[in-house]
Amino acid sequence: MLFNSFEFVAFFPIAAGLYFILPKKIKPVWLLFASYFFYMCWNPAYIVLILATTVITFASGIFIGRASSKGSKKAVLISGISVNLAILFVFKYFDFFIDNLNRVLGIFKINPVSSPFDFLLPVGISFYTFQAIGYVVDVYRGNVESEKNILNYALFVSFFPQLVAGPIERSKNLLTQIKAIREKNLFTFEAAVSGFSNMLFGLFLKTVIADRAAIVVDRVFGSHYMFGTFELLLGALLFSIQIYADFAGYSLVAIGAARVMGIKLCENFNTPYFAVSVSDFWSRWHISLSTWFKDYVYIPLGGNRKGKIRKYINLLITFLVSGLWHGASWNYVAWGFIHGFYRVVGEITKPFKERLYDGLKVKKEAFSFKFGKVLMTCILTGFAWIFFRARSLSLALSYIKRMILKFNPWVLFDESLYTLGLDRREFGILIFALLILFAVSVIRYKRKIDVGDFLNRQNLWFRWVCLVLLCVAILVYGEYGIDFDSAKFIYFDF
Amino acid sequence: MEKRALIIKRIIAVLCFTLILGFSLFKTYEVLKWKDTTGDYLSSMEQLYQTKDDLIDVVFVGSSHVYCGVYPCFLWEKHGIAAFDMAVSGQDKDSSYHHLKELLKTQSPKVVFVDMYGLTFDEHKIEGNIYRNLLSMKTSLNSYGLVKDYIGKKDINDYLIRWPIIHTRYKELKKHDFVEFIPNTFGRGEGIDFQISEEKPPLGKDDPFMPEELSEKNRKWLESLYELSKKEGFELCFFVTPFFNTNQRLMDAACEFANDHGIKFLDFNRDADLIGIDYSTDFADSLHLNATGARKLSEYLADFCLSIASLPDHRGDAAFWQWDADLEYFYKEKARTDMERAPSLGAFMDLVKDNPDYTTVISIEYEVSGSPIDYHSYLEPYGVSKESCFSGGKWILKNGTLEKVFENTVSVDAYIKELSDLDTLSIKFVSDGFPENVLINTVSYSNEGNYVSVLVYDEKLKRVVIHTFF
Repeated sequence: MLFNSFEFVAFFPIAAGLYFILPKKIKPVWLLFASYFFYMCWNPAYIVLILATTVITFASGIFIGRASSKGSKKAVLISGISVNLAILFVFKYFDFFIDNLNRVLGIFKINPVSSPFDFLLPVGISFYTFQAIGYVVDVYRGNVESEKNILNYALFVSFFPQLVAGPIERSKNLLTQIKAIREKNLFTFEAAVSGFSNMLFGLFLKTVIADRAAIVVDRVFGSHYMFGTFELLLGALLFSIQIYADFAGYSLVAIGAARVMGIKLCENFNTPYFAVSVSDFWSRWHISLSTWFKDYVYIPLGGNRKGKIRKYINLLITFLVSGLWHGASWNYVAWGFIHGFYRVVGEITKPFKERLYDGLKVKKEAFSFKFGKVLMTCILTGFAWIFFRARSLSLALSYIKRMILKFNPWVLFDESLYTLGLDRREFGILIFALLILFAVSVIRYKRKIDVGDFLNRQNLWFRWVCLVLLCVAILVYGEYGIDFDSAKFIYFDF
Repeated sequence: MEKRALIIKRIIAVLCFTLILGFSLFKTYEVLKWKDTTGDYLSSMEQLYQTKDDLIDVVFVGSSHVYCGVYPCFLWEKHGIAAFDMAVSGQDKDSSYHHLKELLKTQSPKVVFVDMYGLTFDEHKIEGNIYRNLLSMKTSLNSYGLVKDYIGKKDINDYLIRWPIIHTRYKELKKHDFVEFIPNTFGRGEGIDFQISEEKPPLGKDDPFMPEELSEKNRKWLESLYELSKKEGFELCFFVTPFFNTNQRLMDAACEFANDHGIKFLDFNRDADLIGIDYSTDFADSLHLNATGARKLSEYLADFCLSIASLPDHRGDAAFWQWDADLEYFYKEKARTDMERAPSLGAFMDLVKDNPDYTTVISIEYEVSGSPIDYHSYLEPYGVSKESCFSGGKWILKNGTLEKVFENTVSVDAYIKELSDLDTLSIKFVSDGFPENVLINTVSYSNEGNYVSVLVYDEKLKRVVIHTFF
């Protein structure tokens, strides 16, 4: 059940409506039931996996809480994490492992082995596995108490708004709120309106911007060998837009849906394309994942506490793992490596850059300086997205090679860019929608509030006009329906 | 108390917002919805919805074969029979059954003819025809039944909700998505066509009667129609319009079914001679009759209807104004064809001069004096002098009177005339050879290098009838 489906339009009011009217004691049970139903709409069989993860990590938490020695706590922690990672490995990475093993065996002329499994990747497995692992580590570290009520915990792992693509919640935030459901009324009218506004804007980002940009992106990346520099640049640019609108759109719907029910999820995006450096980008992009990696990978590896060289290695390892988390393919690993490389080079060159700016008397407070940094960050991240979007490492390299060598400026003038799937009108709609996104991003950047809270602070007429126009825009200009191969949210695959 | 007031205030706010949102979406849907069943905004379904209850006596159900082959206006003209074509392009079996049921919600016809062309296919090959058949009905249990029967489970939600299909129409919106298409207010289902195509008699026309076995789906369809006729109490007739039929045995099977069930069956492929069909003049293409052929078939069916049912002559009854308007519309369409074929400016002016609905703009370039054709001789009967004609200008012909409204001079202010609430005629002469000097709103109807340009506007139908040159 996709957020951008009529099934969800029917499901959500029922789920949220009953949640409001049921007695407090029943509310978590209902939400758990709704969450499992939501998940089973993809594939009922995979409910077993989420149940397994829930039971294993719940039990791990209990045992860690009860263990008397640090050693036994650690043993439970390691076994709990290992079992969960093993499940993730089997369902997500096993084929990748076999493929690479066969390549190695091929070098030594040994017969390849075949995969004993033929699984479809369970939706959201990386998200709820990481969320559950995070909980176990937090209990081990003593950051949170182990949860004693399995229903509360099961809801924490499977809460439907964020189940399949995050935000990856921390138990301190979400589990605490879930436990409070039985005791107090979390609902407020303002939060519900704000949540509804966020949901609408999220759907707008997904259906009007992301899926429209995807038409050109799919065409260009699907047959990049037909195109030259400027089509490929456009494809890369539009993919940067697509993935942001897609994932930020999803996150807004998730955050909004939870907010309607009085539950506050953590922030996941904070105007990432306004970042002034790659480091800044990662503090704004997929925040729940980057902080997860920071807390549960980078810091345990030693972070920046063990000297510069170790810091650089830790950064590289963290980004390589992050790349692998996104997908079982070398292009994702390359994408992670590039970002790690950016970070390391950024750290190394920082003092030189500062000296250079001072020497050249660059006005660092000027808009142009900041704009230049934003632009450079966009170019760097945009370049890395090519590896993310291409289906393999070799295709990404071939894409970049053509982008450099097949210089064809005439396509900017002969209207052939309008033959890539979006005609003049469709490009117009996309640009207009992007202007709206830009305006909302500026508000977010300057006033530090999301679109839901911004609209809540406006007069009624303005809020209503915006919401009605958003609804109409989604229904009319959204990419969906019978002639459209409805795209999943990109991050559902991770 | 304060808290209660706040809750009430919020409930009212939510209700008001829901109402505004619902209204906005409804108006958006009205613009985007699928509007035609025939093409070019002509919709028999809309025409049905514009018809008051219990007026229709005879119904013809079927595909384009029906709306091209049977013109209710001819039944009206001959015997005052209130007939209606419940016909949709490529109407399939499920659609014909449910469209008829839709008609039966408000009408009680005495005779229903169902075209047997639906037997020849189970699924649409043209995507537009799926939409015409499945999306033109108002949402109801009947429309749900149609979608369920035709679509099955695949994509059913898209067809039931409709938005997933119709929302992309924003790419093709035109004037009549926003403004009512006037012929739908009175039309009786026919799609008027004056094209002529020389055709051959269908294969198997003279073959012996050799029915093949009906498929289960075909048999079920015929049975469902039979049962519906018994339930609703109308006389059911099956018929086949003349077309290049390649499967006579299937029609024979339907004939056999009809005979077994006491249903009247008329096969105008076999009995084309009965109505005097001329294959060289009566077809628009191999599948469809033109207006000439339709008159022959319709007039025969008018007589046939009277022979099997007692049908009152409704002519003169104001309640049946749509049939009068429909007949008038037919003659206007005929006149348009005659205008297209008019051999001279004079013959053209004779066709338009007496119709009070027409405003005719005649634009003459000043070089007309050098033309080998004597245009002045056509204008002279309306009191136009040779000098006036040779100096060029714009004349308006209305109710038989020709009035010069504009000289071809730069200095004169624009001539402006409101043709209807939607359209404004403006005439402005900017310079010699300026291509856009006669406009309706922003669309040019100028001479384009010709000596004489003629534009006819129908004020009743609020549309341009013809723009031609002499």
